[in-house]
Amino acid sequence: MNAPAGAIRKKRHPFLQSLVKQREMWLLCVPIIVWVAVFCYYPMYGLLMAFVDYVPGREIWECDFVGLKYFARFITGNDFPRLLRNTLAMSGLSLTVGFVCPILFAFMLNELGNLKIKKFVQTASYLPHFISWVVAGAMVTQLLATDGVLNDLLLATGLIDEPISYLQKGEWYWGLYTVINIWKGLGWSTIIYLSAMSGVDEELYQAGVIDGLGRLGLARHITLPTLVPTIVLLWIMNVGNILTAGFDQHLIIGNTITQRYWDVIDTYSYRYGVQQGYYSMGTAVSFMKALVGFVLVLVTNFIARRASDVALF
Amino acid sequence: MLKKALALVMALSLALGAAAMAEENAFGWNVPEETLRIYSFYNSSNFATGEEQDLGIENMKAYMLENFNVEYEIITTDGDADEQLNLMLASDTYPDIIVGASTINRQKFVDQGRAVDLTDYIANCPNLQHRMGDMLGLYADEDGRIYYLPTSFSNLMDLPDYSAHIRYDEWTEIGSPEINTPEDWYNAIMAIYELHPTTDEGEQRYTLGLYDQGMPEYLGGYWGLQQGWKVNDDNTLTYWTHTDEGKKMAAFFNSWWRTGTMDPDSMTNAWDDLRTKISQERVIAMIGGWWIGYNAGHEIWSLTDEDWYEEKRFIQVGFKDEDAENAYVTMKNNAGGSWTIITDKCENVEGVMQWLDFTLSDKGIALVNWGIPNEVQSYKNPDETVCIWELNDDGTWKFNDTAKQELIDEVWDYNEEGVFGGNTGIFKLTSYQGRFDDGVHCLWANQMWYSENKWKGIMFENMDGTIFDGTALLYESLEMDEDVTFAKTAVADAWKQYYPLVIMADTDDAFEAAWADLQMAVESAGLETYAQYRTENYQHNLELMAE
Repeated sequence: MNAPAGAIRKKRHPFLQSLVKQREMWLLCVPIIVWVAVFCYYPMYGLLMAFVDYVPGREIWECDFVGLKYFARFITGNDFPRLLRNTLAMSGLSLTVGFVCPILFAFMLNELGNLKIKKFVQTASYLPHFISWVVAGAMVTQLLATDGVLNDLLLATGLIDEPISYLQKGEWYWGLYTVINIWKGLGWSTIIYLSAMSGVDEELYQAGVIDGLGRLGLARHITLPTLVPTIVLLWIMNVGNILTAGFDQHLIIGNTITQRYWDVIDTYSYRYGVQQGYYSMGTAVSFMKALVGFVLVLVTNFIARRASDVALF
Repeated sequence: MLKKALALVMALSLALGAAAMAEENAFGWNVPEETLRIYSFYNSSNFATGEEQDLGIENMKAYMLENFNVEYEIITTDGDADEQLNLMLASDTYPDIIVGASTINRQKFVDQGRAVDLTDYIANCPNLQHRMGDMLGLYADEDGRIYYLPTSFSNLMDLPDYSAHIRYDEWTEIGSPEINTPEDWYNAIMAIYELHPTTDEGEQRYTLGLYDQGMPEYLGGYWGLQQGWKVNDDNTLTYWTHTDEGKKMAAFFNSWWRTGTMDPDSMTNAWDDLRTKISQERVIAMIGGWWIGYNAGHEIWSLTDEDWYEEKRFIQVGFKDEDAENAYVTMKNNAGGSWTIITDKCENVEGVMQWLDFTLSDKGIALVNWGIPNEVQSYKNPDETVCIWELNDDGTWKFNDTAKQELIDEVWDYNEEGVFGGNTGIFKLTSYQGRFDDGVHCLWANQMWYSENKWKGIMFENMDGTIFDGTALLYESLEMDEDVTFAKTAVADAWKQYYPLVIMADTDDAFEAAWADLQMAVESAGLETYAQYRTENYQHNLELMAE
């Protein structure tokens, strides 16, 4: 039956409109939404453990409420300054040196004329990404141990008289961690920049050449501006991880002599929160870390949007 | 007529009753009609077995089911056991029995009412009462109730735990000098190093190898400390980092480090790292468990070295600092440091306790430690059989003569031993580690008949005077609150980070600075809290033991 003449058709909510119009797409998304809800959002109620004196075996609401006790314990604890220092130092190096290296590497790869060599180098560069930290740690130990390959080489060539205990020098640990992380992640991180570079219009390069730009000029004035949105987005996401400075690597490559330099928030949380069974402590530390990261993402996104019109959201 | 009928009925009743009663097997175990299930978590981190042990475990399970009507189901972990237990507790998926729980985790079960009150059951456990004697009282709470038992208790008071080692053949080569002090030991090793600075293959040798960050809490015993503590006259305790003895020990190892001949990885070696170097003859001396010289030394060389001779082995040496009252290198905790709990999930506590009690009888200990008696199919030569102990149908038993001689002659095949099913320890619920009533046998097959083995004889002679009863010091009778457990972990973390720097200091000034840093680190970590707990615990134990 048709609506009477002159009647106003009620407008549907935009979301409902989308739901109806794109119902097949939404149907495809249902499993993912359920997965996220069950595995990402539902377990969040466990964050309440951070505010109670949780004892394994008791329900969370059966435990004594202690408020911010474990947050305060962590922040006022003697280990906190050292943990924060180590975490910020290593993540800072990752955010600076570690962030820039894949970009530079992508530029270098992009300049390679020979396609076969380019593909070979690219493939070889992201193979370490697939090696587990256990294997990578064993490789590093074999290379840098007191009786390892590097010392044998240096001794044999007469460059040193005594072996160097690379893995026992705490002051070298941050640099070692950064180098190993770059070695392992360089190729993989380069992929996203290379794919952004491949989207640059060839005509722009041709125009640049006509205007008298050399290879460096082309990279600076054409390639780099194209990469800016990608760089900014990845930077914003990485800033959110500023309190994450590795975990597996430290347990495998680190030792007690260098622990003053590699003990970070995550390893501390694991040692006390998981190994000792103080789940409240571990939850409080992780919650605090996530909160700080979230705030940093918001702030960085805001600044990026104001400064460059490029933002994550 | 009535009397006859009554007599017949009574006789029939008795006969039927006897038939219904459990049948006793040659072990003295009353085989139940219904299968007794032993469902346990073996709280031992990084548990791993070899193929022959896997076979032995299956053999043992089948043997127990067939001969005892006992069915074992054991959960083990190749990760961190405490972590696993906490997760099981949080998810309510723990089994009937926990074997080897830490004091902290034990307390969680007890506080939540998840540990069964064993007091009344213990009354029907004659072997348990016999083995433990007065010690049972140590585990009772203020109401006299017992909720847990020690997973291991009592000890062989003549068997050392830790010792210094030296190569016997090399020591005789330099004239077998007397070793009475740490300096004597150092001088002997340096003399050996002068003669043999490299291996036969030309690889550099190290005068000393350490592991586990140099184990200061144990090695301090050579300087008169008791497992890391100085016991003061007023029964208070001072931690080794704040004692002259501790500093003297550190100075000794630091001066050794400065010779440049110590294994440079001594402060980072795990046991496996050091074992490789020892087996390659790159280490002249080391300190650690008494068994490391066997495990990494002649037990490997006798198989791999064609020219091996009997004197090419490490021996254990005992000594003490001249100012030390005693060398408290081995402090035995007879009351136990880990715990067996029967949880609220167990449906047959009486049955489990009877089985636990059985495993504390002589034959029970033999079964769960030595393994299956009589002939067992060999792992290496499946067409042959091997035997470790013999049990007759009438219940009499003895250790197999061939096995005994192989153990005395130190040609016993430890790889083959796994096939008997006992040497993993996972079938024990609570383990008595003293000698049987005959004063000879014990749960470890290789710790008997010392007088018949030259090398064990040397060990016991040399280590005499280094083994003490440390129960009062080590048994954790007082509950640890959160502050104390945090402090305990933090203090251990702190010395493990800073003590290596003390040992590795290059100059006197650097040593003093590093020692001061070590002290500050443990103080910041909560040493005062931890030391106070240990002092109160020690004094409480002294009172308990006096009662």
